[in-house]
Amino acid sequence: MSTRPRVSPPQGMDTANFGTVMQHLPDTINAFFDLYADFWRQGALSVTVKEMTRLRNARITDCGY
Amino acid sequence: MTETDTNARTIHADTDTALAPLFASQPLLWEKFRRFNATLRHGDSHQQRLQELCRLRIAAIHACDAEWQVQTPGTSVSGSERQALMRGEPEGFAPHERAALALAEKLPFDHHGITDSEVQAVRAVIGDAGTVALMTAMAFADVRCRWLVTMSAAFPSPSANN
Repeated sequence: MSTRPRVSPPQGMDTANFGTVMQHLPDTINAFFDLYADFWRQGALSVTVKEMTRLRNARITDCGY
Repeated sequence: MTETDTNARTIHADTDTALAPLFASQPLLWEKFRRFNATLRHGDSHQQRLQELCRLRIAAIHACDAEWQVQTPGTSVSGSERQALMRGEPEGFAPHERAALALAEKLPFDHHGITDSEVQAVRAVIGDAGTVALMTAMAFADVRCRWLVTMSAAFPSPSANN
């Protein structure tokens, strides 16, 4: 597991995190957030159930982010 | 899952064919997913080949027949290369391709085991933007495989009917 960022953000951005690093691919991250927002809004499951599964998935994959 | 040169030349034009049944009841979500998926192809033909090699290796690791049989338009992976990817034998690939495949090998089930030096080996060749693109494409290949394998009981892959 890395203890420091493995890639740099685009020029003009100071901190490497998910939001800044993904700015290397602005079309991708914009399309992702558009999709992700709809994923949370639509479907038969409540937002609460989706949030529980998201958190459980994060624990299982040991993703602190 | 078995592999031959014959079925390597086929079957789906793109990932849409394999995934469409999963979204049948959610047309708006499907359209947005397709739009997102289309952005994952990044860089020149060399970078797209890296993505394709890694995608195929991840499909093989997951034994995901539906993803494995996809042949991404515009990329070229020979039958013998596909067989090597199926077997997890990277020796015949170029050094930078082996570096990318080392990431693909760990991403599905050993993502915490990916080392800084393994990422650096790829970054030295394709840069920051290329590395982000490759890792993102691999992550979503992994997602698609998990999706397809999990849902396969409800939606058999098209190849099951061949």
